[in-house]
Amino acid sequence: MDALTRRAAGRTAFPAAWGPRLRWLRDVYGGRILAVAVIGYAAYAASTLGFTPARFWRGLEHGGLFVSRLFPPDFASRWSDVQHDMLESLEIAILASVFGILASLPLGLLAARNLMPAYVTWPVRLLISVSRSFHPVIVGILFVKAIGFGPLAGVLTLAVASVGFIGKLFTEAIEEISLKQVEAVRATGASFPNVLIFGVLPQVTARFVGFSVYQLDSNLRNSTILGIVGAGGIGGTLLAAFQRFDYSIVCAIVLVMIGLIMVGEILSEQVRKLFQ
Amino acid sequence: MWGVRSRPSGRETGHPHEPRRLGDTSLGGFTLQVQDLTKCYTADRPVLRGVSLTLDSEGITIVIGPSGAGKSTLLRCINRLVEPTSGRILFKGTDLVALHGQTLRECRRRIGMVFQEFNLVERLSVIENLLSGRLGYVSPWRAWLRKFPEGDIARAFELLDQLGLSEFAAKRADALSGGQRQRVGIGRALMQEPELLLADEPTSSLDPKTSVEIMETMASLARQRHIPVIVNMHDVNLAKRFADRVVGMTDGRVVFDGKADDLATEELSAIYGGEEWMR
Amino acid sequence: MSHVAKREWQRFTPHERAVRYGVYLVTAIAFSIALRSIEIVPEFLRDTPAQVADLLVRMWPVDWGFLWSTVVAAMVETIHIATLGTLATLLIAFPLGVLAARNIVASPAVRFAAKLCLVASRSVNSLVWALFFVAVFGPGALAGTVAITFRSIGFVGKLLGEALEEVAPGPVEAIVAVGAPWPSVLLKGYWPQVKPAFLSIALLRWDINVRESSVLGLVGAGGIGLVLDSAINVFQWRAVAAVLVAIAIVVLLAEVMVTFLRKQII
Repeated sequence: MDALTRRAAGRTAFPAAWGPRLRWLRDVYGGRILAVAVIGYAAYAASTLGFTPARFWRGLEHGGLFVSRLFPPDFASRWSDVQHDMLESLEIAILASVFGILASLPLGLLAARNLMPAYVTWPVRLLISVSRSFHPVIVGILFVKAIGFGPLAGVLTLAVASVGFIGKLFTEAIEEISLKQVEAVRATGASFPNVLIFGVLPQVTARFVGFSVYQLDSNLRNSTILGIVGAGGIGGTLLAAFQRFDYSIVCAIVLVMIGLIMVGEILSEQVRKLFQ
Repeated sequence: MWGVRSRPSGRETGHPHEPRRLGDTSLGGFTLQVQDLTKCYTADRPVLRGVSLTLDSEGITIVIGPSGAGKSTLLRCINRLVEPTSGRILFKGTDLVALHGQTLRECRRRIGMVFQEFNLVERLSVIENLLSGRLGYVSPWRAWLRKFPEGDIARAFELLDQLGLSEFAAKRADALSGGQRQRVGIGRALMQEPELLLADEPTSSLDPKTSVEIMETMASLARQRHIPVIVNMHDVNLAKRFADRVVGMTDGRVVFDGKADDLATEELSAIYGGEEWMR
Repeated sequence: MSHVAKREWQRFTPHERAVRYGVYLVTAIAFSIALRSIEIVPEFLRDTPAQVADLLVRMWPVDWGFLWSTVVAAMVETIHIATLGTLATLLIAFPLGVLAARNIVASPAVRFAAKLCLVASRSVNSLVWALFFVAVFGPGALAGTVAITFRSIGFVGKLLGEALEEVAPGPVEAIVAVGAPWPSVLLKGYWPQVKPAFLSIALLRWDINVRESSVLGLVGAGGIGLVLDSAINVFQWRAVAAVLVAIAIVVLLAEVMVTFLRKQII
């Protein structure tokens, strides 16, 4: 029943017992109660965090000044540094994606409960879960502290993130397949690998490509900021520029980042359509 | 529990059975011998109660019976898609129940199966579905690259012609109608060049006209290749029309085994219970 | 038909094959170039498992006292940042999503402008937005909340626009035919159809934002990130472990809650 019908129905009676009474309240006034609750929460949270209108206006003034210092973007000075670091981010994204995608294919299959026995799926599922528990930036810091600054930490971080993301979605896709098709292939006497190739994979390949392409895009975005914590790429250059208050270079870097990400988005759309 | 054994045919010998090796087909004519097959999903409710059946010639055997009689379980036990609880299934001398792994797969290759819901790989093309019948014979690498032997591909096209589906070769399986899909299913089973064809309610998802067409297709192609067929169905009239031999099952037991003409009211009510539905 | 001696079967048309090979080739080339030019010291690579194990050992046992004293408060602040940010996003992304929808707004210029805003918003990472707003508002939760908002607008707006474009035209036409003014058309025609999608998108983004908010503090934008940063800088690994445990628990709870709420909607 949508809200209109519910309200009309609700107007006829106010139930006596508490159970139905609460449900009636939810159906008829639910929307309004939610709105009030949300506004109340927002006010409470804002005050806890110390948001005052005064801070906001001061910020906006500051913001105006700040934006003026951003433009015009400075593409000239330190351009070779920017170029080198941008390429490094791109390289990190590519390497991490390739390794991550290659690793996710077998791991996703091993974690599928409709294909593998429990003693195999449990540890693999645990591994995939742990890989996606933390934000890539946090994983990046940990890798940097463990193995040192530089792009290696970046590649490992994003490879782990890729396995976590693609692995989980791929396993879910495999667990949703029609087992009847698999049964028919088994009945022809096919070996287990052949059953996978002809019975399981055709049902999930399109989705796997979709996930992989999405992750490539995501890795590209994340690789640009991992440098902020020292894992290589343009992020470090960006942070340094911020700390020098060199805002016109900041603007240049951010524009290049946006350009790269937009190109990445377009390319990934094309590739996804291709493998449909 | 002893089920009704098949009526002695002219070729049954009185000799005790001797174990034969795989591939030895000179076994006095028995393609398939089911001996005392039992299947229980839960301890107290057996689905098959000591079924015994002998298949010794080509021709179409149709198993009829009410839902839950165990017809589908019987068929699936033969190619071990379902694990029997006890009993023996002798396929040209080899006990299928005792096989595992590689030897089981090699035996499965020789038994084709057609399914009620067609069970085609929907995202693959018709020709790929046909070729999947040969998956028991190619390595994973070749399967991945779709490098099937030329002979297989030629035979697949021939079959497509015989099935009347030539123009659909490259179409995705889910673009076909139900009847067309079942024809592909039959084709896939025949691509295995099987020595036995099983069909689990192949017409239950089809309309009456298409059902007859499918049965005709299956019957003629199987006869052409001298392959015995065992079919499950619940449409008694369709069964009478196409069967060389009818097996009636109820409650996990065989209660009738003979020619379609011998299937009269009395026998049918023994199988299905009640008489009103026959009028 | 059977007179044809041998028929060829190709899995892909020549065009398809060419394109697929193209993609594989480009990928392989990109991979090998990247591999060769990236500055990774091989010794570090070989050392990696040992180093990672060493770090993990230093994090054990987890410093539970630290958890209670500092982490919980910071975690609460993080959740506030995420939630307020998502709420603000919904306010702004909804009109932008409407403006970007092909079936609602006729003028391509307006749609393009709206889409441009949405693309720009999601092309900049929330951490970069955080850097901006720390420079504007100073360090603290305000910068973090606004950063979350600006980043999420692009995500929510895009998905919302797509949901609006997929609306069935029938009920909308019925309301327009009755002669209702456009706010009513939006409210009674479009809104009921996109409400489940809208709520679902909002919950999804909230879930993502909880994770994003936890790192904003690394650049000074408030929340648990600040605590994490300080602990790492003084090499208090057991305290770091406490922070990680807290983050993991909160993210897990958020996911559970989102799954539960989504079932209620659908």
